[in-house]
Amino acid sequence: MEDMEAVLKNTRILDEDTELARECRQGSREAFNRLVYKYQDRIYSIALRMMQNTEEAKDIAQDVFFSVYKSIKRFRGDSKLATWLYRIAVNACINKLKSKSRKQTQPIEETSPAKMGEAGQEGTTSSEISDPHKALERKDLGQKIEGELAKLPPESRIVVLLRDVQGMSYEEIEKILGIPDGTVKSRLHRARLELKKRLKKIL
Amino acid sequence: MNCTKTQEYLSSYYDDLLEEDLRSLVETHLSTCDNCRKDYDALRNALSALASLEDVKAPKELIKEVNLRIDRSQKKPSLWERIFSSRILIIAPQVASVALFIVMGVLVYHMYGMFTRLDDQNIAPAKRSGKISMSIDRDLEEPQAGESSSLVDATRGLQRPSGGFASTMASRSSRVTGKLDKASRSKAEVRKDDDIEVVPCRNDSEDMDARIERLVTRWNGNIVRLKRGPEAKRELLIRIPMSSYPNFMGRLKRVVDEKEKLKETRKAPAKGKIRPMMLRSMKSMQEDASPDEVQNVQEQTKTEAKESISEVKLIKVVYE
Repeated sequence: MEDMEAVLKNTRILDEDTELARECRQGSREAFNRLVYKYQDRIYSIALRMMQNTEEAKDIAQDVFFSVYKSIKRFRGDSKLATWLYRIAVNACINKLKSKSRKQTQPIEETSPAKMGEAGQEGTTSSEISDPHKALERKDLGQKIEGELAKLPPESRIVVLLRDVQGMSYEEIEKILGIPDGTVKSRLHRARLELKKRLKKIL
Repeated sequence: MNCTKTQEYLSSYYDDLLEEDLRSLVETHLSTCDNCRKDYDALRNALSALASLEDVKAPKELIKEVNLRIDRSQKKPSLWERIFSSRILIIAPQVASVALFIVMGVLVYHMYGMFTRLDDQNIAPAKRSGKISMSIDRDLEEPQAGESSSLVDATRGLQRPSGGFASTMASRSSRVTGKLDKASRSKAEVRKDDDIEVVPCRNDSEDMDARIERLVTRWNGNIVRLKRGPEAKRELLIRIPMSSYPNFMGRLKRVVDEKEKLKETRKAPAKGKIRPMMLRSMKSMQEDASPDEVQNVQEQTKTEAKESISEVKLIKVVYE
C-alpha cells in the first residue's frame, strides 16, 4: 500500500514537473518562478553544503536558475526535471571548487550550513519554528552532523548528500554525477563508513 | 560469512540492494555477532541523522535576483552599452594615439610657418624707429682701409676673380657703388643685417644675376648698387616696395635655393681663373661706369635711400 502511494506521489511530482518544464519552455515567467520557488531550497542546500560559504552558495544557486531559464528549451524531458537541476548545480559546485583550489586563496569566511540558523532566517527549518527547545537540540545535533559531513572530501560528500540527505536513487545519482553505478556504490560505501566513525561519537 | 565480508555489505544491506541469499547471510551474521550488529546500528543511526537534515532555506532575495538578472539579459543594450561592449574600445587607444600624433604634427608645422613669417617681418618696427636709416648711412660710407671698390679693382686689371655681369645690373639700375662686406655665409639662409635682409647666394653666375634682375623688375623694384670686396664677394643691394616685399622674398629665396642645389652638382672653377662670361661682364662694367659716374650714383642712391626708407625694403644678396 505504501509502495503504491509512493508511486502515485512520484507520478504526481513527475507530472507536475513535466507540466512546469513545458510551460517554462513556452516562455512563461510565472511558471519559471514556480520552478525556482519549488527547488531553490534544495539547490541552495546542496550548494551551501558543498561550498561551505553562503555567498558562494547564493551565487551558484542564482547561476543555476539563470542557466535553467536560458536552456530550458533544450531540456527534452528524458530525465526528471529535478535530476537535470541537480546536475547543473553539482557541476557548478565542482567547477567552483576546482577553480578555488587552483587559485589557492584563503576562504573568505567559512560558514557551515548549520551555523546559518544563528544568523537569521537562512538555515532555519519549518519544524524549528514550532518547538524552540527541540529546535535548539536539533540545531546543535544538526550543526555537529553538518560539521562532520563537511570534513568529507567533496567527491564523497556529494554522493552522501544526494543519496542520504536528498534521498535520491542510485540511478539518479549516476545521471547527476555522470559516473557508473559501481563507482557510486563504492564511493558511498567509503563515505558512509567514514561518517559512521565520526558520528558515532556524537550520536 | 565473517565480520570483514559483513562490513563490506553493510551499506548495500542498509539500502536493501543485496540479493536474497546474500541478504540472508548478512542478517544471520548480524544476529550472531555483537560487534557487527553495533557497527550496523551505528551506521543506521548516522544515516538516519543525515536523512533528518532538512534543506537550508534559500535567501529571500534569490528569486528576485534571478529575475533581475534575466531582465537585464533580455534588455536590449543601449547605444552606449553597445559601444562600450564592442571592439571599438579595444582599438580606441591606438586610433586616439594616431589622431593625436597627426594633430600635433599639423600644429607644429603651422607654428613653424608662423614663426618663420614673424621672423621675416621683424624688420618693420625697426624701420619705423629709424634704425634702418642709420644702418643705410653706415652702409653707404666709403670703403675703409683694406677694402676697395670693385670698380677700382676692375680698372686696375681684374686681379681677383669676381662674379656677375655687373655692368648689366649697373646700367639697368643706374647705380654702381663699392663697399666690401665681409659677409661669410656658409648656408643659404636669410639673415637680418642691420635691418637689411641679407640673402646669401653661393652661385654668382650670370644666369643668377639675370634671374634676380628679372625678379626685381617684376616686383617693381630696382637694384640700387653693386659692391665688391677684397675677397671678390659681390653684393647686390635691392630696393623693393614694401607691398611687393613678401612675394619677392619668397621668390628670391626659391631662386637662390634652387640655384644653390644645382651648383652643388657642378664642378667648381679652378682657383685664379676667370670664367669667360665673368670676364666679359666685368669688362662691360668697366666700360659702362667711369669713376665720376660712380660718385654721382653713390650720391643719388644715398639720397633716394633716405627719402624712400619708409616705403621700400632693402635686400642684400651676398654672393659667396
